[in-house]
Amino acid sequence: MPNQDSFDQWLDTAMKSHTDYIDDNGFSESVLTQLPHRPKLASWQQNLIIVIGTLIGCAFAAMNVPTQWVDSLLSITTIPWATAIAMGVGLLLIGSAIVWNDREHWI
Amino acid sequence: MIQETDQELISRVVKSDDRKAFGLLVNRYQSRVRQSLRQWCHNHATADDLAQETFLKAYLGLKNFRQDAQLNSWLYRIAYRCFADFHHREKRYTPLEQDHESQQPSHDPVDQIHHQRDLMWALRQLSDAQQLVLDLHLTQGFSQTEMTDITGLPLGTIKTHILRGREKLRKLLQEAPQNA
Repeated sequence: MPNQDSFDQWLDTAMKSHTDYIDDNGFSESVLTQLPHRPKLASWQQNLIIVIGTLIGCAFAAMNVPTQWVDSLLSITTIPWATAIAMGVGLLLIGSAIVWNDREHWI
Repeated sequence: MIQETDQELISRVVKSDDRKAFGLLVNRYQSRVRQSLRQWCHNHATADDLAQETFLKAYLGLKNFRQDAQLNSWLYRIAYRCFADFHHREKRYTPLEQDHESQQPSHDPVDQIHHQRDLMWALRQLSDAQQLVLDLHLTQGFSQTEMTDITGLPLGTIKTHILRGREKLRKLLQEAPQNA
């Protein structure tokens, strides 16, 4: 067995040459067929559209709710800050869902 | 014909979702990435699946790739994460299967030590971490600093794996003639 230095030299050379080039053989093509289609809008634009859509939907729903439903809801909700917290949690959940939806872009 | 640089191909992919350009990048790096994954996994089919996963993740993350960074190290970082996730998922249930029987050392009396088969056999006797680190360092030519970036391992750990891996290879190759 050669000494340490010559062994290291031999190992460096042998490790570099012990692998052969792997032919593509359709590998690249196979990767390309699996690529997802990129959305035409950037992810922040999609998220903005979701948020705006949600707000418009909420506003539309609020305008069309019969007044007696609102009255009964207010009579149930005797603690205003609890309602505010519930709405905040709701918004937080929507935000989290949007971020989670975008997770495939994380690396 | 002038070959386009990695940066030119990347900007074509990012700006206009040019899949042909991405295909050229895959073709350019597939051999190295698949070689390393085969070395780490010991299973060609699994390695190729992980290589596909690597390139898919690269495609999705290409817009976040810093233009001044090395594409090679970035791809290896993704490949290492794919491998580590796979290893974490599978290791506890089934041992990593091997494509080949553990190769025995060469019987060639002329040059038993300096033979590629002996080296392959000896490499497989190392721990997974030592094999991975030696492949990145000696075969792929990454510096120790680049390897900390790719694997997330501390520099000291990488140095230790290299040192111990080399030492173990040396001993194994010395003992090779007796094992034969």
